[in-house]
Amino acid sequence: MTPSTPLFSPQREKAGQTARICFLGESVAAGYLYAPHLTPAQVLQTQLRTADPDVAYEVVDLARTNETLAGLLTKLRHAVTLQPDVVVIFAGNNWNLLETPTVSPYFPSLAAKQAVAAAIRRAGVLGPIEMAARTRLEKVVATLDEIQTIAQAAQVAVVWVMPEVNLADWWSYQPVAWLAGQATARWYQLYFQAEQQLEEQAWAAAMATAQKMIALDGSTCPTAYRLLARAHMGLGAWSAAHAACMMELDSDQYALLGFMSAPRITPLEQGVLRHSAARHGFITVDLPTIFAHYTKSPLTDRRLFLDYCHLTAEGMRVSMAGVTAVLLRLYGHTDDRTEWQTLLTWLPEPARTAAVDATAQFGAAIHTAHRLLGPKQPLLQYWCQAALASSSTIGQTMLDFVRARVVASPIILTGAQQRNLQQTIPMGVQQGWHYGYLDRAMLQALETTLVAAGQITAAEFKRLLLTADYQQADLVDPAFYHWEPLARFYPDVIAAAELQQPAFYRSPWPISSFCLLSNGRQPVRLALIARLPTHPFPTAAQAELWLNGQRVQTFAVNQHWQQHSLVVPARHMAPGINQVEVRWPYQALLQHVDGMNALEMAAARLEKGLEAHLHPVFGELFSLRATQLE
Amino acid sequence: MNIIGISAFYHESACCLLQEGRLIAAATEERFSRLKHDARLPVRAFRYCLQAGNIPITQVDAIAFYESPDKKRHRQQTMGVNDILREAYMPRDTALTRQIICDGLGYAGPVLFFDHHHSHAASAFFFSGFADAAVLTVDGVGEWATTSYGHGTGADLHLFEEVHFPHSLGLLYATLTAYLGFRVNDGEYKVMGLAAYGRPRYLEQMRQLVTADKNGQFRLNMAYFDFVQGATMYGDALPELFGQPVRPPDAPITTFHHDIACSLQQVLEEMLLEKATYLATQVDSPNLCLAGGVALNCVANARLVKETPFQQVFIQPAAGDEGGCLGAAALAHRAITGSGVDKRPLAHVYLGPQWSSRSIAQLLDSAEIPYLSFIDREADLLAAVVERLIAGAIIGWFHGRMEFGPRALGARSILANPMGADVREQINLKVKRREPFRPFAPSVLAAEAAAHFDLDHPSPFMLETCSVRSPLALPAITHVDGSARPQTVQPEQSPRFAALLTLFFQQTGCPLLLNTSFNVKDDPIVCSPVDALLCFGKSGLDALVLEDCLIDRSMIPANWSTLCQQWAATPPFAFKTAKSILHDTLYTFV
Repeated sequence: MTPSTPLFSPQREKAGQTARICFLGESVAAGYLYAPHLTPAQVLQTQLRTADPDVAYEVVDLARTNETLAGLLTKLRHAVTLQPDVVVIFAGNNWNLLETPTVSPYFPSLAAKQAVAAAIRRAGVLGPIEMAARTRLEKVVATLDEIQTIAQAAQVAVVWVMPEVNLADWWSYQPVAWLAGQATARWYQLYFQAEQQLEEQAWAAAMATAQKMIALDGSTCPTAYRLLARAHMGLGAWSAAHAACMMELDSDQYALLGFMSAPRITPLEQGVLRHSAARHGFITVDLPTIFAHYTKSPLTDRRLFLDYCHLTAEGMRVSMAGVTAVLLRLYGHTDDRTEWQTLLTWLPEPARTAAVDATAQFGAAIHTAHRLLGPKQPLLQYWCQAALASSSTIGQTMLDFVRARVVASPIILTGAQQRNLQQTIPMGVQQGWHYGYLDRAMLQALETTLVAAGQITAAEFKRLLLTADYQQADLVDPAFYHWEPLARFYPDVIAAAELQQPAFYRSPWPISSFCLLSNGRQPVRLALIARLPTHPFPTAAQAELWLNGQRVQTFAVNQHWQQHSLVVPARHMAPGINQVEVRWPYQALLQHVDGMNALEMAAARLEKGLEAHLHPVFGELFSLRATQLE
Repeated sequence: MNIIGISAFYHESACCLLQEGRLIAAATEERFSRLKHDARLPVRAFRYCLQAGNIPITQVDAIAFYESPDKKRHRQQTMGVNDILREAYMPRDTALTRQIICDGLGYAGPVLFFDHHHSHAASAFFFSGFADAAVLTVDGVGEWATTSYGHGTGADLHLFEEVHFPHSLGLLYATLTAYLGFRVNDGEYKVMGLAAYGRPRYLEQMRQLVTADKNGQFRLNMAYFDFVQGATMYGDALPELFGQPVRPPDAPITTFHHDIACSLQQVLEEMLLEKATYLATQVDSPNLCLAGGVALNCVANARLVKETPFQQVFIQPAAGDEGGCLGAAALAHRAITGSGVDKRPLAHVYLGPQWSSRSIAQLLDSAEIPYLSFIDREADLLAAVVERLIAGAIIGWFHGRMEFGPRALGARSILANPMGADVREQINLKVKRREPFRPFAPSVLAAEAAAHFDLDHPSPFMLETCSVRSPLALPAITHVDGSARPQTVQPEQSPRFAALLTLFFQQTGCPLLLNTSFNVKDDPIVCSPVDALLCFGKSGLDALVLEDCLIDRSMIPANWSTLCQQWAATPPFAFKTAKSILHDTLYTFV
C-alpha cells in the first residue's frame, strides 16, 4: 500500500549512481543526546563513503524518538517511495514501555481496568504480565510480517539492527507486587538485608539473599535480579552477572510498574525478533554479539552507552561498523571490508567537536539523574567529569544549570537560558535542560565535580544554591522530589487527561526522599501531615524522619492524617543541599497483610473503574513543610 | 465549620471553602493544572483552598458535591450509551463518586450530595444578599433537570418546578453551536457574539426546534437532535431544516451563519423572558437570582433585567457548573449547622491565590529577568502604566487575588486604550488570535458608567450587555450592534484597578479601559506570576505588570516569543497537554 500523502515533499529523485539507504528507528537510532550534531545515520553514511568511495552512498535519516511499531510501519510506507535499496531498522527498545499502555491498573479506561482485574483474578500478578507480553509480542510479530510485505513489494532489502542495552551501569528497581501470605514483608526484609550485604561486599551472602527474593517473587520483579547481578559482579562472575541482567530485563514489566522504568529491549523480544527476522529474510546486525566481542565482556557499560540504551560516539562507531559491513556485503563486496572488526581497525572516529561531546555527556548526567533507579552519584560524577574533560567551557553551562534549577521559574525565562543559547552547542530538551526540578543528586554531582575541577569554590557553589527563595517550601511539591524516579510514582507521569492525580504524595517505596535547601545558619521547622493508606494496612505504627542520614524524629502514623512538627537546630542543617527522608514502617505494616487479599482488593477496585495499586503503598504525605526560622 | 464545595467530572472543575458560612476561597482546577476545561477532581484547587483558609486537611468538616450521582446515573442509563463511552466510562453512583472524591483528596469525612440545579440555585440565592428572591436556573442538563424555578427566603431555598431532559435551552444552544462549526461547551460565547451581525431570518425554523409549554415548561422537537448515539448533537433533520450543511470548523463564516446565530439568540431570549415572567407570577418577590450556564448569556441577561417584572437581578458570576460548588457548600452549611451562610452579597470574586510584590521581585531577580520596580510606589506604577496605555500599549495586568469564574475583572486582565481605532485588531493579532467578530469588553469607573452606557445599576461582574452612548468614540469595546458588556469598577472592591481607571480618566477624559482575559487562545487564564510571564512571552503584549513590577517587551530577549511557544508545545510535564480520550461533542452523557 502506497501512502496517499508522502511524508517527504518534494519526493527526492535518486541519481543514477546513488546508493540510497533509509534509516529508521527509535531514539537510539536518532542519536538521542548527541543529535543533531552526531547521529548513527551520519556515522553510517561516513563509514560507507569512506569504506567504498566509488559509490555515492546516501543515508536518509528517518529515525525518531518515541517511535512505536505503528509509527515504524508508517515511516516505512513513506520510505519506500524514496526508492531506497535498503532499509535499516534499528528498533526494539521501546516495545516494552510503549506498546501495551492499556495493560496497566492506571490506564484511564474502564475497559482497561476491568481487563486487568480479570487477569489478576485468573492468574494473580502473572495475569497482567502475561497479558502484556502476549499483546506486545503479537504486535511485534504482526509488524514484522507487515514490514516484510512492504519491503518485498518495493523490492527493498531489510537490515534489522538488534539493540543492546547498558547492562553493567543501569539498574532496574521496582517495588514487588503483592506476594501471597506474608511474603511481601519477607521480601522487603531480604531486600534491605541484601543491600547491607552488598555494602559490606559479602557477595556470596548477597547472592543467596537475592535468590531467596526471587524464589518469593517468582521473577515478577527486576529488583532481586539486579541485586544478584551486583553480587556476581562483585565476585567477578561476569557470565553469571550477564544472565542475571537478562532476567532483570525480562522481569521489568510495564503492567506492574511502580516507578518510571527505562525503555530497553528484553531478551524475550530479542528472541522473537531474531526468529521473525530469520523467517522473513531480514539481515540482522546483532549488537549484543558485536558489543560483547568488541569490549571483550558480556556486560556492556558506559563506554558504549550514555545511559540505559543511547549510544556514546564510540557506541555509534562500533554499531554502525556492524551495519556498514552488512551493507557492503549487500552491495556486492566480498573483501575484508565486510567484517566489522576489520573496518574498526582503520575507519576514522566520528567527526565532532569537543563541545558536542561535552553537551551529550552533561546531558547523560542529567538524564541519568532523572531515570536511574538506584544509587547514581558515581555515574553522575563520571559523566560530569567526562563533559568537563571534553570541554572545560561546559563548566559555565553547568553553573548556569545550577542557577536555573534553584529558581522557581521555567528555565526558558532565565538568564541561564540566554547564556546557554550563546553556546556553540546549547543544551536542549533532550538533555533534560528544561526541567524545573531541584534535582539533588545532580546538584551534588556538580558541586563535587566543579569544585574538584577548580571551576568554583565550595562556598561560592553554596551561595549559588541559595540565590533563590528557600525560606519556606512544601516538599511534596513535585519540584522537590519529582527528579528522583524512586520517589516519583509511575501513574503520576502517565500522559492522559482523564487520569486522576491525588491531592497528596504517596510512596510506593519504603523510603521517601526530598531535597531541601538551607543556609545552614538557621534552624528549620519541619511540619508534616502523614498517614498510612486506608487499605489494606490494619495497624498503626511508627515512622521516622531523617535528615542527611540522621534520624531526627520518630512519629506515629495510622490511617488518619496526623500533624507532626519539629524544629531542627541549625547545627544539623547543611549549608546548601539537604536530604529529607521519611522512612515508613514497612515491616510493621506488611506483616499483617495477606498479599492475596490485597490483590483481590485491588481487583475489586479495578472492576469498579477505580485506580488500584498492585504493590504496597507505604505511606502518604499531605504536606511536608520546611520553614527557615529566625 | 470548614466546608469544601466541589464541582467536578464534567465541565471545568472547581473547589471552594466556606468557613463559618463565609466564602473564603474558590478557584477552578484548570488555572492550576493549565489544562483548559480540566474536569478532573480539583486536587490543586483543593490544596489552594486549604492554604487560603489556613487550615490543614484534618480540619475539613464536610465536603459538598454539586450533583446527585445516583439521579444522574439514572438519566445516563435511561438515555443509553454509545460505543466510545461504553469503553471508557462507567456511570458512577453516589458510593463510587464518594470513593473517588475521598481517594483523590485524601479525605475520610462526610460527603454531602446536592442536586445539580439545587446547587446552581443556592449558588445564586445564598450569595445574592437578597432576603428573598425568585430563582431561575437554566443550563444544558444536570441530573434530569435542565431548568428549575425556585423561591429563596432567608436560609431556605425551595425549587418548585423543573423542566426535564431532553428539553433543554442549554442543549438547544449547544446543538446550534455545533451546527455552526464551533466546539460545544466552548463556542457558545462565539455564537452569542456572532448573533449581533445577523438578522433573525430563521425564526420560523428555529421555533420548530423549541416550543413553549404551560407554566415553566418548554419542549425541544427531538426530530432535530441526537444527543447521545451520534458523534454530533444534531440529527440529520437539522441541516435540512435550515437548508445548509453543518459548517466545518475552518470554513468561512457567512451571512447565513450570522442569521442562524441571530435567530437562535432571539428565540432563546424570548423563551427566557416568557419563563422568567411566569416565575414572577409564582414568586412574590422583586428580586431574581440567575445561575446555570445559560445565565452567562449576557445579551439575554440584559433583557431579563430590563423586561421582566423583577426590580433587582443577581446573576451568579460563576454561573456555569464551576460555580455549583458554592451552592453545594452553602447547602451543606445549612444542613449541618441549621443556619444559613453569611448573607452579605457577593461583592467581588477575587477568591483565588495571590502573590506578594516581594516574592515576585525575588523570582524576577533570581531568574535574571529585568524589570522596573515600583515597590511601595503605587502612584508611580499607575502613572507608568497609564503612560503606556495612552501610547497604545497592550498590557498584561496581574494584581491581587485571581478571579473566580470566566471573567477577568482586573486581577488577571489584558488592558488597552478603548479609543484606539485598531486596538481590537491589534489585540487579536498580538495576543488573543480569536475570531475577529468577537467583541472585547470595557471596565469603567462605576461613577462614570452612566455617562457612557445605558446602564442604571452596577454591573461588577460583566454579565449583561447594554447600549454604548458615550460621547467618546470607543470602537474597541463597542460591538457591531452598538452594545457593550461593561464591568463597573468600585474603589471599595478593586482599589488599585479603580485608581488606574481614575488616572487614565484624568489624563484622557475616558474613564474606561478595554479589559479582556489574560490568556492566549486555548489556554486557561493565567494564575501565577510564572503563567503570566509565559503568556507575556508567547503573546505580543507590550508590557506586563506583575503587582509592583513592570516589564516592557523591549526589556526581555527577543527570543522569548519562540521559547515560550516551544515551551507550550513541549512542557516538561507531558500531563499538561494530554488530550482527552473522550470526544468533545459527546455532550450530554457525563
